Amino acid sequence: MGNTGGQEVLLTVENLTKEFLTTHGIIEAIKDVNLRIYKSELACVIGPSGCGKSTILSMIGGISKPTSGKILLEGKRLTGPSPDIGIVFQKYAAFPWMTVEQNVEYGPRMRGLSKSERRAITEKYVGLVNLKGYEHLYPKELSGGMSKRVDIARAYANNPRILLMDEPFGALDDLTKKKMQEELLKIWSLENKTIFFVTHDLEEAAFLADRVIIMGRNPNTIIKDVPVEFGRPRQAELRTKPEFVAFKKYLSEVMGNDTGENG
Amino acid sequence: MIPARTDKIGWFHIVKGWIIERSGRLLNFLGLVIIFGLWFWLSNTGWVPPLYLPSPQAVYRCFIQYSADMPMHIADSMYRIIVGFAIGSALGILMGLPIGWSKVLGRIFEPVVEFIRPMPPLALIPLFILWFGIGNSSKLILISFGCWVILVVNTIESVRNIDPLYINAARSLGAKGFQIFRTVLIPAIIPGIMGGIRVAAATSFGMNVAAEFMGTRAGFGYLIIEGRRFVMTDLLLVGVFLITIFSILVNWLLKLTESHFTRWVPRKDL
Ligand SMILES: Nc1ncnc2c1ncn2[C@@H]1O[C@H](COP(=O)(O)OP(=O)(O)O)[C@@H](O)[C@H]1O
Ligand SMILES: [Mg+2]
Repeated sequence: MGNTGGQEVLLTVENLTKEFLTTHGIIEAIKDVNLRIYKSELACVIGPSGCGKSTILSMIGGISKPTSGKILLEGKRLTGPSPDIGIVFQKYAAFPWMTVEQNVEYGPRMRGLSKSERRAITEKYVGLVNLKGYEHLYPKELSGGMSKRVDIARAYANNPRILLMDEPFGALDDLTKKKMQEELLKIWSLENKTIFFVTHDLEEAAFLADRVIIMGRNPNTIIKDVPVEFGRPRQAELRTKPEFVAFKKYLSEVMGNDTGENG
Repeated sequence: MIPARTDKIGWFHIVKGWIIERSGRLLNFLGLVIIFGLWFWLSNTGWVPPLYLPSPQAVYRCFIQYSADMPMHIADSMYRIIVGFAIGSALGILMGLPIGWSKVLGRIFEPVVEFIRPMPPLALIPLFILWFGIGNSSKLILISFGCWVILVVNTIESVRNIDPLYINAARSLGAKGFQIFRTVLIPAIIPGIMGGIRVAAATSFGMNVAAEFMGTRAGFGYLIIEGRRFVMTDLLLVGVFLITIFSILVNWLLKLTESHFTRWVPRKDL
């Protein structure tokens, strides 16, 4: 399971650099990032706070423009936001003025799908994220974990080619976070959709990923690309297995060589 | 600390509980009751002559005496207030949206808005009469102008306060131009402009009466002017209270609408 079949490239990032002009001079938010994301894989990017993870993600998502370099989706250059690229933001991003159901069907509605088509899609994804029965609630009536489920269902319902997730569980308590990770893996295995997942949490990356891409600071760029060999499906028990603990230690050493701080 | 004595719950505790439970609502009326009682007492004992302060009963009798004319006065003023408020508010919102949204339009038109904003609408009454005559149109334009200023400023600010997160989310879900406008911009500013709408409505009553003072054949302001002219303080107060009652009514209706449109807004205290 997991990263099955051939290594077909879905997304390519070439020599991506982003500079910010500030009153203190130019900040290189990321420098010369080269990256390939393969079809159906779950790739995690980890790195200390401020190493440029969100910057990469928002440029792939078309929200901000690179200073130089390019991003290709199946060979075609991306220049702005696109329904082919779904985003689950770090902040709770469900539209507060829409119910759970209206949020989930938003993408299909913008594409002009009929009511019955939308109903089928909404039902499927609301079910997939375990929000059945909450369709008519507004986001203010949901817990943090439930809000995040809405964000995930909404992104999936729009059927993008790739899903970008920027520390989506960063604001959740530890227990909820672990539960959400396990559910995300289930959804991922059912839906077979490529996920590009950004986090600063080693354990999260080790548990979720087919491949961990490690970033460092100064320069803000990729320093290592590590395959994750644990089999799938992965269950909660994996977290306590010695090989998992050892792998986490290995990741932290690779990161530690580059910078002391984390988070 | 005194230990709770549950064995001795008598009538006193029941009454006390009842009072505590309802005291919030009772207190709401306390201030009003005191003011009204004071008015009743001062005017009825004759300590203050009716010329300065007619009694509540006198005001009521005056209203009954002229009750045949009241529908006309009410309709005349309310027509101006509602139409002027609706046109001015709608134009303010419609113009505030692009000015708040577009950086270029903001640069061009915000200084204009900032220049107009401090102008007291009442100071413009003579100018409006000069331009549009003494009739209904100058009054309507005055009320519209006042509401326009409030809402254009309020809308610009509300648009700027929208979290870009929602715009980005909409874009990444495939929404374009007018779709973003309809599904994000409009709903996101509603809580922000609702306050402005209520302020504009309340201000409309004041602007209307000021415009009516410059000359009118009917309306709340007419009652007040006539009351002064014939030294009928009770008639004057009838005009004042009609404005008050209708203003409260309009505010209450707007509050109902507001609570319907903002039922999704998270409460701040949670
Ligand atoms: N809008 C901006 N203006 C200036 N500097 C920025 C901006 N956005 C990000 N940066 C800088 O770029 C670097 C990378 O930021 P970011 O991508 O948010 O890191 P991460 O998501 O890994 O924590 C940081 O040093 C940050 O201060
Ligand atoms: Mg970040």
